[in-house]
Amino acid sequence: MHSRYLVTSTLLISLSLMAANVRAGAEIVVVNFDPPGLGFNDPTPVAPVGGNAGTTLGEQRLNVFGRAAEIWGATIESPVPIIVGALFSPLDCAETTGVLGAAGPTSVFADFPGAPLANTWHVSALADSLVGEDLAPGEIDLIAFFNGDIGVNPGCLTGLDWYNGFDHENNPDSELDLLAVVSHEIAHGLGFLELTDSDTGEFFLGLPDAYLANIFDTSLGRFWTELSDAERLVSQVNTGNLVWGGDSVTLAAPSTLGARPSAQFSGRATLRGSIEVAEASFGPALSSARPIVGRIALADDGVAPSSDGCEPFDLRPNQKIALIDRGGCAFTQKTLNAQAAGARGVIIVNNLPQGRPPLGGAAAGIEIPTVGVTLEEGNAMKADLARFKGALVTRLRLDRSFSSGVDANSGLVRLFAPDPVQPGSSTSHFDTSASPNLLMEPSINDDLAPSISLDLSPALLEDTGWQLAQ
Amino acid sequence: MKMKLQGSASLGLALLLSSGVSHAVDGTDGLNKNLEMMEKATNEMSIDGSTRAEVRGDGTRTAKVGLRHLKFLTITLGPDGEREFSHQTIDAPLPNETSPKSNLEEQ
Repeated sequence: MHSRYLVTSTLLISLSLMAANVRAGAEIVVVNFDPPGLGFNDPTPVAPVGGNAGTTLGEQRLNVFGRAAEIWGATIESPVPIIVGALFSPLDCAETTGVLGAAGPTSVFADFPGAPLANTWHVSALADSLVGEDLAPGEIDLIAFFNGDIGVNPGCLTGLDWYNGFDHENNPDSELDLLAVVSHEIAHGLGFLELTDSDTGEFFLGLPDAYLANIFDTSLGRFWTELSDAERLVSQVNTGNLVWGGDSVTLAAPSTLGARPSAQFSGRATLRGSIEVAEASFGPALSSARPIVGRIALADDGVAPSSDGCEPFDLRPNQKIALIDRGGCAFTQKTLNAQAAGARGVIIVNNLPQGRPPLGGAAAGIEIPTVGVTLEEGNAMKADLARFKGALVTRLRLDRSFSSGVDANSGLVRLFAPDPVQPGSSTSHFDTSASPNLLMEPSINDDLAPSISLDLSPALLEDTGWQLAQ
Repeated sequence: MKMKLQGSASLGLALLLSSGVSHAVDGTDGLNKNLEMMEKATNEMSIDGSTRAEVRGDGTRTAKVGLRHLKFLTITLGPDGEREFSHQTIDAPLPNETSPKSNLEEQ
């Protein structure tokens, strides 16, 4: 299939590219580990899509990996090629749930010559870049698995396929942006992860790693390296108060993150001033120029629990913001009922003690914004409604005084720290309150565009020790 | 979580990607070294990784990370095609948990 001449020529091209990239960036080499006919070698003919010129399924997949390698290779600096072993083979999958992929470092190093932090693990690719030589010749630095059954096996995530184009904006609803997923996973392999045991709080083999050295608990006022194992167990679920303490991310945040979705109250309210709220994935977004202003009214749909807004309910003409408890039905149903009652906006109160409700969903015809507040904040509003006989006004808007995803007191970017802990997701991602969405949040959101921006991810890797390409 | 990996590096053609430029190379040439690396890694990458660090002569410490530390990104599809993402570790079941920005419905 491929002549020896072609092989020799392409290798020469490869070597010349490698030399050119030493001056600016890093050479990321993706090695295909799939057998003939499968994964990256799937010969199924396909039409070029979104800048991906591949004409077979396998070729397009390879091109996506190549594009992700190109993006990251132009972002970080290393004189040592970074070797990624990759497979696009079947992984666990059923009709409605399945593994998309995974990637991570294969080994870690500490106390190597020139290590910036003593007694601290650095992932293989990072350690190589800092030393300037391959500390583990003959071994790959990252390993990556992706699910080749998606879009091929009809019993695997039925109806979903990978989108292999590079232009995220043309990604059909039925397809998942492979470039975003691969870019996300490669970041984990480059060191966007911490290795603490989430069951015990113990460091990996007794040493902290370069990522967790930057994790800071604002409640305790200490970095994770300064906590006991027991304290780290508590800290990993300290929702909203676990932040990234590194300078690069902190400095980059204001120009990357947008204004904070907020609800504002007058001085007599318990929640005086501006409080952070969670925005829904459905309906119009909040605006800084056109706030939604109105009296709050607790929903009463007449069916216990009557404040869940799952049945149609009425509002008086002067009541414009519906306060609805979480539970019982879809968030979108609550909003549609509020909209039918004449509301301009909806506030949904969490029914769990920690955090704000995750306002996901989709429905046609939603024309008003929906936000979420904590249980404690919701209870404060209900108490004020009783105290002021229903005269409680709020303004829902984007508050430019604060950045989304940032702890208001410390100015540090939040990490994902749900309670209970979610092994695999917790602490090794940015918090979901960031807006616009970040590549390294736990979800692969539709608005990610790694071809255009890796947002705060490079800054975070710089805080772990990487040098960024100029 | 069970991983169903198919294939072997010793089989067939290898493809190398280098900074976005793809190259097809015969599995019998010098790139076999990379294939051997991959095979070695997948064979030796245990669930838990190293149980103790190796210390080299210059004081460098090193350890295998282990598959348990990989973040397996999973997805669950809702009846309307909505997507819930979560990350799992290798010994966790497929997700019932959902990620905050994409919950399907109230619990």
